[in-house]
Order: sequence, then C-alpha cells, then structure tokens
Amino acid sequence: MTLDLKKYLKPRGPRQHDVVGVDLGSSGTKAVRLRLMDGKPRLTAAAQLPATPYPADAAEAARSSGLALPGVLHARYVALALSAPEAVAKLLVVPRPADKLGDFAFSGMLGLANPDAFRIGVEIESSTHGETTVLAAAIPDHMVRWALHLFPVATPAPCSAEIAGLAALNAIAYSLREKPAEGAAMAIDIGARTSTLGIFIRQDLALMRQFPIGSNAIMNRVAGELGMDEETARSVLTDDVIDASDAIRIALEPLVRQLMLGRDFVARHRNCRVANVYLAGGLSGSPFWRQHIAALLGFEPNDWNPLTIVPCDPAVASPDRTSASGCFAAAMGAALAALEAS
Amino acid sequence: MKLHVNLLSDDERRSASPIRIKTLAPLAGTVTAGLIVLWIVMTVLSISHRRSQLRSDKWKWSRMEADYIAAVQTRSDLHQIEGRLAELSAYQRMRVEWHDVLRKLGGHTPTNIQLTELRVSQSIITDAKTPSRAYTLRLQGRTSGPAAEPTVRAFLTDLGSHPDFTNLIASATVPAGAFRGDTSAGATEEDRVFEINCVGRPRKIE
Repeated sequence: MTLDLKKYLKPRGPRQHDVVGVDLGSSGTKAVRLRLMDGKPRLTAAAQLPATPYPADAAEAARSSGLALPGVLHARYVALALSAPEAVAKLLVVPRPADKLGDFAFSGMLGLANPDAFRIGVEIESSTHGETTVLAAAIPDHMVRWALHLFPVATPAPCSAEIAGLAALNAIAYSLREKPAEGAAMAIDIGARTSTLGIFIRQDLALMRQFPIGSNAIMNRVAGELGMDEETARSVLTDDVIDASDAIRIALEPLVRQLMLGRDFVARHRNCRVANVYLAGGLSGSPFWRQHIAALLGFEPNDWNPLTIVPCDPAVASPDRTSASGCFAAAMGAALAALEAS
Repeated sequence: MKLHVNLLSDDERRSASPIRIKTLAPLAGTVTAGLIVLWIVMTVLSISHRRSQLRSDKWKWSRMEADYIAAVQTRSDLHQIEGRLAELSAYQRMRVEWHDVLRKLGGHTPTNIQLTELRVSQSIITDAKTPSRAYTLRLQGRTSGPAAEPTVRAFLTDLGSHPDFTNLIASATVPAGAFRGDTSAGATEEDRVFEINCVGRPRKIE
C-alpha cells in the first residue's frame, strides 16, 4: 500500500452538501434545493419564481441587484442553469488523445464568431489514442457575470454555472443511472428558445444536439395558426378542451423532424433503437406534445418527473405541481451535478 | 457520462463559509501591518517624548545641580557634626564631675576623720559587649579616739549606700590590714590610719 501524499496535500474546493439549483429561464426562475443526507441527495424545497430577465445591456447587467430566494430555498451553495440564444453545446469528436487537448481551439468547432466574448468549457466523455469525445459548451461571458451578480455575497455561494439544456439532460441521465432502461433513451428538453436532444445508450451519451426551436416559437406558431394570443395558445397546449392538434402538429413539425433525424442517426451508427423517451421543459406536461411523440415513435413517453428522481418530502412534489414539474429539470440537473462534483 | 460542464472559473467559485482565507489573509495582513505601523509610531512618539523629558530634566538639573551638591555637602557636614556631637555627648555621659564628688565627700566625711590622700585610677573595659570606662577610688586617711573603728565603718557604709554616691561607687571596702595604728612620728597610741578602696560603676562608651 502506498500513501499518496500529493492527494492529501492538494488544495480541495469547497464541499457542497446543501445546494439550490436555480434555472434562470426567460419564462420563470425555477429553483430546487437538494441536501446530501447519508450520502444521498434529498429534495427539500422547490419553487417557481417570477422570471429574472437579462437586462437590456451589459452595463445594466453589471448593476443587477441580488436575487432574493425564499427562506426554504436559501442553501449554502447555488448551482446555476443559464439559458441564452447564443449558448452552444456540442458533442465533439476531436482527433487527438485527451492529454493533447490543451491548445485545441474548440471555438472553431463550436462555430463561435467571437470566441473572446464566450466562456468555453469541455468535459471529456471518452478517449482513445487517436481521438477524444468531448462535450463542449460555450455561453456569453456577460451572461455568467450577470448571473454571478445575482448572488454577490455570503450565501448561497455560486459553485457552478452551466447551460440549462445540458443541466436538464443531466437530470434525466441521473434517472437512467438510478433505473437503467433497455435500449436507447431519448431525452428532450424544450426550453423557451432552445431545445436540447440527448440520446443515451447504456448510460453513454451517444448524441447531443441543440435546436433554436423553443416553446416560445411553438407557442407563437400555434397562436398564429389559431388566431389567438400567446396566453390562450399556452392554455390550449396544456389542456385538451380545444382540439388544436393540427395547428400544434404544424408548429412542432420543425422540431419533430430534427428529433427523428437524431433517432435515425443513432439507429444507423450505433445500431440501437430508441426504446424510452423522457420529456423535460415547459411543454412536457402538454398532452398534445406527448400524443405527438407517441404517434411518431410508436410508444408512450415515460412518466418522468424531475422532482421525484430523488427522495423528497411529499409536499414538495405535490400532485398540483406534477403537470408543470418538467420545467424543474434544469434546476434539478444543475443541483445534482454540483452535489456529485463535490 | 459526464454532462456537467462547469463554466465558472476557480476564483469565481467561492466558499460559503463566513471565514474565508482569501479575505481573512489580506485582512490579517492589513491589521498586522497596521499594528506594526502603530507600534512604530508609538515608539517614535515615546522616544521623542522621552528625549524632550530628558532635555527638560537636564535643564532642571543644571539649575539645581549646585544646590544639590551644596545640600550633599551640608548633609555630610551635618553627619560629621552629629557624630562629633554624639561623641561629645558620650564623653559628657562618661565624665565624672570630680569637684562635685569631692564636695559631697567632704560633706559626708565624719569630723574625726582626716582624709590624707585620694587617688583615682581609670581603666577601659573592652571585653564586654559595649566598651566602658571603669574608675577606682582609693581613699587614705587618719582618725583617733576610742570610736575610730565605728566611725570608719560608718563612713564606709555611707560611701557604699548613700544616694550621693550610688551613681558613682558600686562597692567600697577596707582591704585587710588597711585599718591599723599610726606609726608615724608624733602619733599617739589612739591614732589610726586606714584605706578605703571604692570600685566605681562602669560608664559605657557609646
């Protein structure tokens, strides 16, 4: 047995046992508080708060005041899930081994016109002698700075910031680790402006794509087709009082086409069929959306609730919140990732 | 499967602990530096104050030095004089006023006794704790008549116990054979000569 002194002498970061995941979405701020109890995360509080919109310009963003969280959500650390139209996340295959990635310009592969204005992060998924699969993400720097201004002092202290779509996929991936599924699993997160698709095969990320089609665009299209305002269109999507299936089908068509392309890509390249579908985001509770997906794939999407993937108090995941619980996926994924990283 | 791409830099991930080394270290450094500066300032001020005090004291000393030397000299003189005075007092205490003794002796000498000789000798006693001076008084005389012996005995008793002599004479004795007949020319059978030795009380030399 050898004693690795370097391991013990290496400075360690703060250990997070109490984290609030905050998804700063354009439609609302979603927050979940997780605490490590006996080594397992436990959900102690969840709330949807009014939206914290990004200010019109960077100067105003730098002067933003702090975000006041309710007392039950006031954890020691905060994990941020950020959404921005310019944010990019890609699963890249780099023709280099993992130890030669130091000077690799990921900005080019991410298609960033102005790399200096972005924060770029990568996570190595797998590596061989010749190539490395990395998950790369980039988000405008001013966006992160603005988010940090929301938690300027004391607690909760920011411990991580990531793209909301990836955070939502992380929550679904956590479920898959806890309850492995047969075949490939498709995870779809529909944000307000961006949708994220992830396909997992035996807990490996086989495909990850983002599309600039979000619930806002779908809602606008439905509203335009039916000749109603956006608020009414939203109620049409979540209720089944009015049969607006044709209008919704037309609105969802561009997104569905991308999903089918992704499914076929994995089926061809990995020889694996999608057998489970997990829906996250604001539209996950929409019956039309679920019916549409079921019709295309030939099976019903899984009943997945991000608030129940970890043990929780019954009041936190109450039935009246179940229909809208999909929107907590990014906050949950961010908090889980922060807990697992500590 | 790693989906967590953290976009925060290390310096942005702060600890939730209220005590942070990053903030505490500069604060402690600043406080320490401040205390050192304060100590230096206090020391400089103290030295300056002491120098000023020293100048003031030197000036005061220059004003009073002559007086002080004079006072020291005076005190020395005083001690010397006091010593001499004490010595004189001691001499005075040791001194025996012989004229008074002779006058009293004359008053107490019976009428039929004629003192023919009085010798005083002195000696210094040094073996005692306090040195002292001792006197010895030797009286010689003659008497006559049938009551010669009782007269001499009464005179002897008077010398040894009368208050006029108790301060001077501790004991008075007639040495053996010192009371005898007078054998000098022209003396009768009834004439007698005698000798009395008186041991004086020692007087301390202080």
